[in-house]
Amino acid sequence: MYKVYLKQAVALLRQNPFISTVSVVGTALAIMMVMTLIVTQEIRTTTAAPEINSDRILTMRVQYLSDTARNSMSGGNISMENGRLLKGLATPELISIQGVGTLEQPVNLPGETSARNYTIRLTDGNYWEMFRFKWLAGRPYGEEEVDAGVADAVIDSRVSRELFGEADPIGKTIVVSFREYRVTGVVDVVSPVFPNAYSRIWLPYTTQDITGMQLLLLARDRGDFPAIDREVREVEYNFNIANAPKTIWFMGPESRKFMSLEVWANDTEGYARAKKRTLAIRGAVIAFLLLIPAVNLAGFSLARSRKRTMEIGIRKAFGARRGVIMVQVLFENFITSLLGGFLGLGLSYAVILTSRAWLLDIPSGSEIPFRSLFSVPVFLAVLLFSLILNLLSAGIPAYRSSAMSIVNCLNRNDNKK
Amino acid sequence: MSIISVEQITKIYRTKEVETVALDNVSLEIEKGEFVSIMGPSGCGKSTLLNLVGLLDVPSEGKIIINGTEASSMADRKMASFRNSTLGFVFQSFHLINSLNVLDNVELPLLYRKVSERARREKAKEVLEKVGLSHRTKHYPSQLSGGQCQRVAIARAIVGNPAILLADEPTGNLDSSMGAEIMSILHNLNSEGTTIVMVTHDERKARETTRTIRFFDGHRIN
Repeated sequence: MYKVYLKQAVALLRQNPFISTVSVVGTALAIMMVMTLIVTQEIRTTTAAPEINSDRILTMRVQYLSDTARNSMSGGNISMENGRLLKGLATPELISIQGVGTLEQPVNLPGETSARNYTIRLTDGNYWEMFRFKWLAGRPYGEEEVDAGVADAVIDSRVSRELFGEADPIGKTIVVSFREYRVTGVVDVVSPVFPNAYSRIWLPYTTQDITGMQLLLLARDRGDFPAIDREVREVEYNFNIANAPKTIWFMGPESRKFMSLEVWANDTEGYARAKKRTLAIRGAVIAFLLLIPAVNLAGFSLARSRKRTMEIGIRKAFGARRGVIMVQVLFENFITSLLGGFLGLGLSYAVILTSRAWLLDIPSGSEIPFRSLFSVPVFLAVLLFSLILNLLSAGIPAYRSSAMSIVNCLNRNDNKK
Repeated sequence: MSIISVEQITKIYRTKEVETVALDNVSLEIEKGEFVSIMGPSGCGKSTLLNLVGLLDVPSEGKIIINGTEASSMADRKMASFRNSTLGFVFQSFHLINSLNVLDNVELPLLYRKVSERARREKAKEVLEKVGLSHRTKHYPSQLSGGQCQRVAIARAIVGNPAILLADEPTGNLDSSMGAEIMSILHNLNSEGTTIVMVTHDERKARETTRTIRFFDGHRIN
């Protein structure tokens, strides 16, 4: 039956080229807006090399410390001391402690008077086990070297070329912010879309003065997330008992998908509320982006179904039930929605690729991983939103068509039921 | 036993201002295998009667019994299925679906039964052969003459082997030779056992049938 519907849907698209084009383009523009949001989010949270474990990684970045005796409260990134405390959690497979985000620091070779700025990330040794970088030469620094404050550095291939030309950089010295580092490894260039892996130069966090830390907790599998959360709450509880009247609260741990929403609060209840509010706002924005074009497209669907009033009467006369008519109208409209959906996805790629600096906050020439653009969730999202748009725009026309009496349909009397 | 039994049916069309009685307390019986013509001037209620007997509309009062089953009070879903299995329709203006080719139009009633695509195709080709249009299966209605369209409509009406064929002025839009062809097909179907009820304005066509029922102003007259 669906094969016949499909044939007819194609025939109808050909019969009314103007209405068909307007419907497909209208759908495409609506889906483009939604898919730009979805694909941008997908790029920010994609699981691809070097961040091959991002779906199993939880992040902790913020702590709030209050002292009821002094009536004081302070919040910020996790302190070095608390970072080391949390590094003792037992449930995660691996924990990496590092500086929050990246820094821009001057880098030159010994004896050079001028320097150029590079993006620097401060990490521990576990960091290199958590991600899968493409190693072009040398090796990473390990936990012992980090703990000992050994000034080792890993650089990317472009930095290597810019500083050392074609010479082998391994074992050579670079100066980062007036401190000498020995290059131990060279990795392939990392796209800035990877929030935890991207940098140009990586240094042990113990070699620089930093106060704010973040922790990446690699779970054995996603099912361990609640257990990890419970263990973090236990650390808080023990801290609060030992340090009363001081109390501490760590925001998270949160998955990368949620971290990308950038929710902030200064206590547990506020955080739960903020999470709900953020998700509700996202949902409302998507619903709004779908609803407005759906109302416009509903007019076209109604016009199309009115043109087919007699056909609906014929089908009902020969035994089609109301449900069958509704399914047919929705199915045929879904073909249009789907065409528009995939055209909209193509347009959203164009928008993202041309506006990546604005949308993703990355340099305009940065590479975007292929996998984050052409992924199963992205295609499922197109199907889902096309279906929703279809139901919103064709649901009422389909219902009206199916509810009309056969005689009125056959007499093309649209105004009567 | 009557295959169609119409018992005291009345059909009233109501709007906010006007109430129009299209049929007033009409009763009739049609036996299995009959070829009955219904005649009367425009607006006398003959098409309304055909719509009610065809379960395309519901009476305001009275009941319609088809094949021993009271059909006029059936639930929507059951009525659709009953219509599909028992009744076939031929309309004056053919009512073919222009976006479907001849074969797809003809197999339409089978689409709403659980019939495989292959069986649908075979049956549709078989009835198109019967009406002399087996060479036009891939054509669209716009590519056919009026007579050919009506033959496609008859093929569609009989593809599901209905016991009753209801024809609303099937020759009304055709010239005399085409009309004669259509009547010949209807007679063949009747001789094979199909009960036919035909609305017509044409006295000569009515004389070709086994019985004529006449209407005037919503009443049956004898």
